[in-house]
Amino acid sequence: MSATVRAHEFEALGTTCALFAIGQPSERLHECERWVNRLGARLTRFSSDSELSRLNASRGRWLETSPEMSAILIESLRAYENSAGLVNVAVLPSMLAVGYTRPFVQGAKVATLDVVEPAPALPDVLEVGEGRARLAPGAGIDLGGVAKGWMSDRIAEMLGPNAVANMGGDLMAAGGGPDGDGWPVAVGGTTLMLADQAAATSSTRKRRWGDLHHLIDPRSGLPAASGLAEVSVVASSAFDAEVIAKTALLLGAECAPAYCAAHAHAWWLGRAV
Amino acid sequence: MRAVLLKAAATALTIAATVASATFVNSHLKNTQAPLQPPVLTGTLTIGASVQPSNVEPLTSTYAS
Repeated sequence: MSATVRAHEFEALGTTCALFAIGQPSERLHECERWVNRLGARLTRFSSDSELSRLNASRGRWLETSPEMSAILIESLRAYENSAGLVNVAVLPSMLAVGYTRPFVQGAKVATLDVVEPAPALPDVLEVGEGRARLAPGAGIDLGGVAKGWMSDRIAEMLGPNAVANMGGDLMAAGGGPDGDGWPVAVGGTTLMLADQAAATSSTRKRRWGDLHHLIDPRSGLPAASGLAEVSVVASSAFDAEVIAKTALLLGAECAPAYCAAHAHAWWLGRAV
Repeated sequence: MRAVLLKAAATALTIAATVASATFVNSHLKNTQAPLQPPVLTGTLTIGASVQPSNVEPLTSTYAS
């Protein structure tokens, strides 16, 4: 007999989030939603008084950071290293240049691609110390992608041993699910049973306007054009899944299969036809 | 007299707009066979030994963002 799954869906982080848990009261899921909203308000670049916006405006000064911000920044540096620089949160100037200056639901503004430059090496512009961080003058970071994965991993921990946290497509599935054989998750058009595994999709088809989209290739500073339109992967954590999916998409169709074989439990590589 | 003419003109205009709209809509019915936009994807799914595929209805997906 299947265990009863409690579900809760809500809008946050500019996307749809969903929580599923076994053996947890409804209030616990609502607590997680409040946590997501509180943290989301600190990590958004669309609010001038958020913690992230203050860091982006700090002009090279050391700034006190919350434990969550410190952890995400440290993980961002790790992602940069593990992806050979392809996952680089210092792409904010490019995102602004392509017109992604406000929440996507409000629409993109006019792009000014002539000012676009390759993103700087993240370790050259970001230093993270004990409870503080420093961003080089002129640099800017956007945590939109990596923060969702990081938050999914934390919420799955908060929801206990048998739960799924899905933050806008970056999801962590803890435990064996309602029947003990995993949580059924749609990946690449197929249902996969995930048990203590995570999945994420990186796509150039969402948050797209005209020929532009939000997925920036830090090597050029322009929206990625690698030949792949969408990559989904299964990995050990939502953060890692997000990093692997984005790296594979930026690597392109030639190198992505070998890269995914070395880093992912399962993967979908999609091309537009 | 002038007010009556104005009312008649407004009524005629409303009827004409309604008929024109109905004609346009009826001649531009949604084509359910039209290609999806943005273009559909083709690709490959590779599944390692630690992941099991299933026919179960998925609870959630990775496609939200």
